[in-house]
Amino acid sequence: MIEKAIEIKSVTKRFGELTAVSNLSLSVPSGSIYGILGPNGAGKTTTIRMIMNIFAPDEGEIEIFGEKMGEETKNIIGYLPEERGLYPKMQTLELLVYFGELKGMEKKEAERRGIELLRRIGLYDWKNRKIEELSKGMQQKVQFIATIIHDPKIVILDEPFSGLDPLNTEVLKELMMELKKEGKTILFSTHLMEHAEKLCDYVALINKGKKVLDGSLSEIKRDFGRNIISIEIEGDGSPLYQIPSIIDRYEFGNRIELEMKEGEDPYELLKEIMERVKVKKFEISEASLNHIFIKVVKGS
Amino acid sequence: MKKLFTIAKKEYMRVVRRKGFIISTILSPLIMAGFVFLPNQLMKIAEEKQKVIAVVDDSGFIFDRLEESLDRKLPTGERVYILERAKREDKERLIERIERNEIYAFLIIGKDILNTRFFEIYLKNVSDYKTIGEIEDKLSSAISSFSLLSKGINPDVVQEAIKKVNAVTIKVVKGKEKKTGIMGEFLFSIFMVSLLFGIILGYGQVIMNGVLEEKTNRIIEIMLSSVNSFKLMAGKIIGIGSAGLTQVIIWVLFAIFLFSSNLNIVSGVRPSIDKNLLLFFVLFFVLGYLMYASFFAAVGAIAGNIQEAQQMMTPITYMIVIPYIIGIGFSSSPNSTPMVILSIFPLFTPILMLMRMTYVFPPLWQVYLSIALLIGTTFLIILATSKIFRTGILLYGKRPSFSEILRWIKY
Repeated sequence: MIEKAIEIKSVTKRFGELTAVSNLSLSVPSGSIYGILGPNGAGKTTTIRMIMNIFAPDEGEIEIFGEKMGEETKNIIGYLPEERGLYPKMQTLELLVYFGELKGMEKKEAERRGIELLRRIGLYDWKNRKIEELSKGMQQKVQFIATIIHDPKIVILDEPFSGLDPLNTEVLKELMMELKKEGKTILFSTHLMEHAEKLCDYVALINKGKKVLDGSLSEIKRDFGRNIISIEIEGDGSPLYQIPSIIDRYEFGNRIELEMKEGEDPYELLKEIMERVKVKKFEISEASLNHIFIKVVKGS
Repeated sequence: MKKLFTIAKKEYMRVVRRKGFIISTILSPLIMAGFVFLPNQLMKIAEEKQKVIAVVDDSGFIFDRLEESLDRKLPTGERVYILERAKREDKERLIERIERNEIYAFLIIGKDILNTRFFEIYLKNVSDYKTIGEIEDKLSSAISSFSLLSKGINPDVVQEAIKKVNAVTIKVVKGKEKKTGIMGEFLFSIFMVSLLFGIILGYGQVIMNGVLEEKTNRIIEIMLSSVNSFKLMAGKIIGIGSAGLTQVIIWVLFAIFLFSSNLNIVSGVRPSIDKNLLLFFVLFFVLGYLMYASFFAAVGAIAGNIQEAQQMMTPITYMIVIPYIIGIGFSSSPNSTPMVILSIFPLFTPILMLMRMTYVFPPLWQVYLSIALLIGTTFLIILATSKIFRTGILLYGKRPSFSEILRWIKY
């Protein structure tokens, strides 16, 4: 059996009238990349904050490597909050050492590791500069180093890609893959399904505080993978809607995913489509996470 | 505990390394010393000139008497005032001579000065009260003695009869008389109470701003992912408080030096400093600071921006200012019933009880009762504010209502 890094058991969290998270259970296998997906306001940040013990759940329990989470488990987790912040007046290395010490590191060890990570990311020359003198991109890198300075077993990233330019997005993805190779467990949240598609081993889809679906990404895709045709067209797609063998459709810009009736021949369908619209690209594919999410939310 | 210490250390360094801290730590004692030394020094410098004063004496009896009595000497042994006779017709020329700085001033003394009792003095610097006052004094006594003599009374007899009586203050402490340095001790106590008052207000705001800064810079979540909110708040309060204490110690040491030095610079008295009072000062300083600082931390956590924080700070400021004002108002009746009750009221105790101690040491049971109540209240307040802090710190946007804040305490 795979060891569970994080186990969330029937957790509920209310803020006054609002139930932010409702009877949520998740289990994050050790050494995996786990994505919590859902639209804004789904309860992702609340869930993550409960894992970090920033607030306690009203009901249910959370375990970190089989232990009840608490002040001690904070030290083995690295956390990058959605709202980032650093002390603008502190020097880069000084700040990293401070955050390291707050995670229970010895000062010397934090210094050594801080220098090593700054070197690796190309910011060594900035170690004695104040944070406010760094560019925004540099600050984001420093923030990430601060997250992993204490070599945590679990890394939790809340909306890590928000505010990143495409270049830094790629850098971050590579770093996440590297952490995985080192055997770390990575949990991250995002409202952009595309990021999850490429990175995740496991996903959980949540909506309005409730879990809609979870499991291994490849299994989920296999379950939904049949009968999906993805096309790109020129012009208006509305003539397609009269084709009887299409039971559902999802538009993502000029790309359209079509779900066929069970047992239909995709090539017959292609012929019918080409009679109506100009096709640029045609693919028999797996459903995208976007597609799956919308379908599941609609169905429930 | 290690994490709490890490936070306290960092907050301490953050405050101590600030330019404002260094400047105020060094500058305040200098200003303090300046108030004591400077006026004397300035006087000395200002007095070092001889002044020529022309006198138009229509009465005929003033000039000689004035010249005789205005005999103050410069350190060099020369007379300060040199008088010369002048005539009323020369007024225009005298004014010109003042303009040319040949003479410092001129007086016009009327024929009837015995009845009118006024004279005119012409000079550039009309705010030179010292010179004007001295001339006024000497002129008055010249006229009085002339007047007495003319009625056949010996002025020396009158002089002897109207001598002023001076009080020698002896404070009774624990049934013993204490004669030396009462004034200095009283001044020192007032200095310490003012210090307590200033430090609580000043450093309370440092805490509030620090919390607010972490909140608006969104650092707070990273902090909370490493330590719980109580440790965060406690670390801040202890770290910043230690910075305040550092400053106080520097200032108090300086003040002790200033007040007890053999230079006799403060009001000419040599004080002794009551060790007991110093001990109570430290106790009230620590407890009062902890109590008010937790209020300030909670305000920082609730407020969304600096303007909101300043608004919410006002009631807390009153809690500190009001006992201070009451304390000054009741200085002549420190053991009256309202003063006893108010000084035992925990929110007022740190300042008011300390002030009572400087007036007349209160009955011990009152002191101990107030300390016990203060410790209990401080503990409860820290408990409540840390809960407000925990909830408020992550709340952005709408400012919570008072009833919501109360709910957080129960939660």
